Amino acid sequence: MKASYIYIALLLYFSVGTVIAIYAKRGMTQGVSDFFIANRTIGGFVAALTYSATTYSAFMMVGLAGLTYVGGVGAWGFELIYLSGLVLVAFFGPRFWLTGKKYGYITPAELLGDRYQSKALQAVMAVASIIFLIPYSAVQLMGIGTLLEGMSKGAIPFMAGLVIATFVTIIWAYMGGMRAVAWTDSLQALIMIVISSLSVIFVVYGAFGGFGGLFGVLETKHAQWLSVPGPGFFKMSNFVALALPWFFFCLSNPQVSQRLFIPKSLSAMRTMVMGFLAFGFIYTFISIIWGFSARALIPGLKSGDLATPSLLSLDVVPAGIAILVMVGITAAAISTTNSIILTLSSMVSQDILKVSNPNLEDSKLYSIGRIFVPLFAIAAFLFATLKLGLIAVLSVASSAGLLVTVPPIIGAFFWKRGTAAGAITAIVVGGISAFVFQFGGIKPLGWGPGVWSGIVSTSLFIIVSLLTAAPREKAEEFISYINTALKEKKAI
Amino acid sequence: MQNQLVAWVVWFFVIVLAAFTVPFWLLSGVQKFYGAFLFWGVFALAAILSVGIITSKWRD
Repeated sequence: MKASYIYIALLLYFSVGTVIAIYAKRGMTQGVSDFFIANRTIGGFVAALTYSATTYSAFMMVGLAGLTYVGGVGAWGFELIYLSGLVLVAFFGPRFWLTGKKYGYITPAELLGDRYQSKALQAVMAVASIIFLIPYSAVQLMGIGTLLEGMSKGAIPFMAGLVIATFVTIIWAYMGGMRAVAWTDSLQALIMIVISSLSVIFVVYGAFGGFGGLFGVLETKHAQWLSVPGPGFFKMSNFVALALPWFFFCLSNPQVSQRLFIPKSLSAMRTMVMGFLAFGFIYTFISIIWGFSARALIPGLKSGDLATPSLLSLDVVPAGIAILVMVGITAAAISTTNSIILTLSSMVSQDILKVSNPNLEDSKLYSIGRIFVPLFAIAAFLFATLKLGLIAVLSVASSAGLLVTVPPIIGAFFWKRGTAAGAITAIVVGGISAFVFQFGGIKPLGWGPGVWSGIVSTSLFIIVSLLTAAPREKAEEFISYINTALKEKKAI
Repeated sequence: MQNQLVAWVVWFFVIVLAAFTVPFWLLSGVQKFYGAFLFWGVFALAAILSVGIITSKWRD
């Protein structure tokens, strides 16, 4: 594909996004609450789309399609178990939202720090998020670099793609904070879902005459791909190691859980949750069908990562659609990355700077926090240019690594006996264990790092909490407020 | 409220456990569209419907 066409498509995408970002930031005040969580004023529709675009990265159309290509239907099950994890939002969403509003929380770490009465815990959670999410962001940027280089057959070098991706990541988030990110995410989510739906229709009807035809080919030629363990990748142990941390993704990843603070009302949160579930089901279906189509049409590829680029280069996908798919995948990566960068910047402002210097004015916290948007994006860029194997390990370890924050989060709302010492030990030791298991390729009993980091952090949180003194007064006040407010709002 | 919470937690525990086990144990020999693919699709729709019921009761 001609590099000039790709540049024009990216320029159009960037221009429309920038117009939307400028529109979104009108009336924005220079304060941390407005910059990082849009003053809790986001409507349901935009909240649903930003939640979707933040959650779903380039992994879907490239990684998940590749997993389907290699391992078959298990990829569908693993991703739908992740989607079903949104049941946690049905329980925790109103709890986050109500306490966020009452106590003025801007980050999930602030919630934990206040509930367990520990500034150290707040800072530890922020640092853990930075350690695991910067490499994850770097991988997204690398994905765009590789995609553009591959689609232009080298005419757009990897580094040029990386620079473009970093620039776009910075500009909207720096310009208008959460307002701009939420609105540009909405545009990007629509691009992602419309284009991927169109492309999959072209492939399935063009190459197989419909979904019946595709499944007919799979059942006769690749029947193993329709069951688990199937061709081998999705052994039970692998499946559990992948799916378990992802089930808790909506609580463990701060860029997602922070979005539980932004809806303007509980009805808006309901629209957000249901809109996301509809989006997620369709987008997962499309990504899986994309992977199955690649398996049926081009079965001899060396790696699953090649499934999407190879499918795009076939005649069944018109060149115009292929270029749009490229824009869709770029949008998926950018919308995830700038949301992560914005959340990490809010954590520096609220959980590190404000904690270490409580007298800092709001305007200072806003200015310094905002500067961290380009700084974190540049850090992710530098990580990406290094192309270190370590980045991939950290990125893969991120879901297992962030899972360790889940026991303290659940405990904050349901266990008065939980303590800051328990939470810090769970996050620090659990996080290190996730890294050690991942880096060392250690799999006791065949279970992956996600399972073990979960077991380690849950056990430590309970044991250390029982051995230390809980902030009884705060726990009592916090939980009894929630119970009263939940009754009023008819939430469970 | 507490009883409802417990009932929903039990329900979700059962369906998520089924999503981890049924395709591996009962459907591993069914290499058709109506095997694990359909099962997981129905599982996800059941979860979505359940979340819809819980959130429909929320009041502003």
